[in-house]
Amino acid sequence: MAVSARARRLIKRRSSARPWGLWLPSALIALGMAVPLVYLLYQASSVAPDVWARLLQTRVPGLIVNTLLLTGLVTIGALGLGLLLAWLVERTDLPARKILRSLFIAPLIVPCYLVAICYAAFFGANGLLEKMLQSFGWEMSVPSIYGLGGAAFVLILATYPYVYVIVRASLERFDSTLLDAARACGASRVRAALRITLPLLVPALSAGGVLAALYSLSDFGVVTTLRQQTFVSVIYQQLTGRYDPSAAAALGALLVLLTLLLLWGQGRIWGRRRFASEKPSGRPAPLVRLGRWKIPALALIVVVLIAGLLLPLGVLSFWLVNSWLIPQTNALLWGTSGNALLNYLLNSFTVSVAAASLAVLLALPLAYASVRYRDRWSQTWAWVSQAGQSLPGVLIALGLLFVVLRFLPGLYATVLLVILAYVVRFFPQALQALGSGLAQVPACLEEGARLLGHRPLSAFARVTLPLLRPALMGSWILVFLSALRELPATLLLRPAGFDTLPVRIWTAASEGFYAQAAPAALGLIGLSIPLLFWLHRGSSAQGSVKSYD
Amino acid sequence: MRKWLTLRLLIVGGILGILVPLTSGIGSLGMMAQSSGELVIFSGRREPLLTPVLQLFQQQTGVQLTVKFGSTTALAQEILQLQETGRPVPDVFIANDAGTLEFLQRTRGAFQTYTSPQIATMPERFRSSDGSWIGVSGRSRVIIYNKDLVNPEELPTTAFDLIDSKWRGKIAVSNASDTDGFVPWVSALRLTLGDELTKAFLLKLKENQIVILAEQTDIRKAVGRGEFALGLINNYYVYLQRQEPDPAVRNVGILYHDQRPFQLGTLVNSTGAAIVKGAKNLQNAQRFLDLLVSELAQKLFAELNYEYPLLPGVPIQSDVREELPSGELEGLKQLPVSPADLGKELEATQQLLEEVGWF
Repeated sequence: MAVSARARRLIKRRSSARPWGLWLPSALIALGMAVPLVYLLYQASSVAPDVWARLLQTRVPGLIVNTLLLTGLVTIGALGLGLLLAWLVERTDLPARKILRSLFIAPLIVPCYLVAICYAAFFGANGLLEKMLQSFGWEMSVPSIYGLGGAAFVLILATYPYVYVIVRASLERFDSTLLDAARACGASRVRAALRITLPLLVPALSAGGVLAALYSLSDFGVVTTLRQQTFVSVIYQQLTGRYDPSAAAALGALLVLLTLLLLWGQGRIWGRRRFASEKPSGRPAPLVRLGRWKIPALALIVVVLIAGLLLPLGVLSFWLVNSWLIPQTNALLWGTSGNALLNYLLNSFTVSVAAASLAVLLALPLAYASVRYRDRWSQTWAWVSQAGQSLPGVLIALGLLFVVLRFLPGLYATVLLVILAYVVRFFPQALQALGSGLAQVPACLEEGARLLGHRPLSAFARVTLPLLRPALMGSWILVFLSALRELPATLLLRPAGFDTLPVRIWTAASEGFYAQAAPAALGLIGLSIPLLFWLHRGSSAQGSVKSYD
Repeated sequence: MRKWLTLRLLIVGGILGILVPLTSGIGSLGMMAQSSGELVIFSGRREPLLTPVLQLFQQQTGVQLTVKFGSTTALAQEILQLQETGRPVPDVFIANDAGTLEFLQRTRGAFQTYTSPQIATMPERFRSSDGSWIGVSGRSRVIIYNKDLVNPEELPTTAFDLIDSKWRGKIAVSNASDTDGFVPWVSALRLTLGDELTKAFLLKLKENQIVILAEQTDIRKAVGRGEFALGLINNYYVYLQRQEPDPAVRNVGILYHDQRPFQLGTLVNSTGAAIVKGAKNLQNAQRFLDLLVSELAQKLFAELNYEYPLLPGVPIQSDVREELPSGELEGLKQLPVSPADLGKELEATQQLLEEVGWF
């Protein structure tokens, strides 16, 4: 009796009193994450009207068309490809589905700027492909990889895995009895698919589509390599090529606006049509027999895997082999030794470790507040702190530069600034991973510890934290991986003498020293494979954690 | 205690991850400030072009070098920001365009003056009048062409012929951020022809579907690959392209445009170096500047990078000399402007390019 009275008191206290020790840090962290964005908008608002007028007259119309065309193409392409592949491995009698299921996300191991570099060298005029054709005696010129088509193609390859993963998860949980009911009522196969399957997949498609759209809006490496001008590439040019950052700030603000419009539009289009099956179906849905469609399906899969994975890896390996055969003078000119490479690796490693640890530590209170206390404020803070998610690295660098130069000049051109940029940019990833991990740890366990006399922090550390370990590791690796591959913000913010692997790959490749870029690139890929594997395994193991609940 | 392990690991990782780079960063910058054995250089010149000279300096002096490579404009901005915020600045700034140095000195007073007997031997045209910067190596604007695609007889003799529809979509050029190639040339045109004519010319080029690439390296590679027949470029890129490992892309030719009677002449410009105001390793910086204009370094620039040595008496590289109209830099018909003139026009030219839509 005494215990339950205490429990009631505790629960009451939790719901009424705001836990300031948690709430205040959460608010501060969230606001901190949003500062670069807010200050960027503030800077843009103080841009002189004549600069605005000039920009709107000359650059902006073309840029909006270019950017939207690319984003639209990539979103549609990624949705189509992701949906098709997910359907093939989940719902058809395709052979080797188990292996393919994991293979389809394998293109994620190659950062998209590397894919673009490889494509430019492979498909470009007088490139590897034309050479190969020539060696067979075929003289033909390959259609240009540069411009909208090529950029969209590479970005589709980079983004379809996101759509695929989400849609596949949704198909796995699909309640097939609904389809049976529709068929029993006389609906044709197509009609049933259109009226039942598609609406049920809408949330997944919408989430995947937004990811793909945001990705292509914020891409820097692919559009720069393949000469497609978008907001991001032009902002980067403005930042590195001019003395007055006001045009960059103005264009940055427009890009933010475009991003917000996109998110708002997604809410408008999909928001009202939400269908969800309440419970997963008890029995697996019957597989669709592909019949003679098996051949084209397999052909498509082969093309996707070659284009997304084997081709870039092959080109990189080719360069690596070539670098052993290259004349000595080239290496002398470049002056890159194995020692230097190790140094870049170390640089990449330290900033990524710092960024990952910092991001996870900072995300912990926010995730806890937003999962355990589902009040308006904690939700707001969680939302505010996600500013980095939809912002391209170039804009985060720009915003941080403005803030630092104005308020914290001591940070300018330091490694710490690079780390901060990573934290702001990848904080949402940490928050989301931690949040979903926390949601799976039942609150009653912690409440039990409180009842047994533990203080909040001690209960959290002794009960929740050990259970949270997989989520902690998962979110740490997620941020670490993203930081390891980050390019545009690093290019803009790194101090003298501090090059990371991606920066090195980028500068070497833009000089055309592919032989020097290849070892660094393969090193970067090699480093990410085990981590990505771990993440993938972790995400499929999460189901077992859930069953604990 | 094991329960705390994860959190402690995280905290330790976070602290270490921040402290290590921070202390090493501060340490290296701090040491630069004290020890006389160091020199910090920002270089807008590409790494492979500068590395031989850096190695030479290191061999001669044993000084520890820290170099940041990047675009000249981005590094210039960084130096200005560092100066404004009172942070340690680099000692030497090497720009791929002396005009940028003149511009920075004029508008912000970013550099300190230095003269020495060695520097005094350089021609006056390639030195700043107040001693704030020195020219390091010379280059001229040329047309690069792909010999597989164009016969030498078909070539235009002046850049103004490039508006001919015969070249529609076949010319590559660099954008308004290319401060060591295209931008100074446009400045020179503005100074000789005036804004209106220059603007009209640029618009005609755009009408002729000229393709604007980000950098001159892109131009030489694209022309070498046969993507474009012609490119507007600095002279040494032609020779760099001929050094490509792949023989199929080496077949490029060089054309010094506007060399005939009644034609304007081409632009001869120079790279430059300056000692940054607030430099901590002043002595090393001065030694480095002296080295840059020494016979040895001038020869390296001439031989390895195919640029024109500016120090009188140092010979032009033999391949370059062979294709120069009279075998001498003086024999080249030149637009009558100096790097200092170009620096004054930098911002106005970029503005004009933006109005024309040169991106």
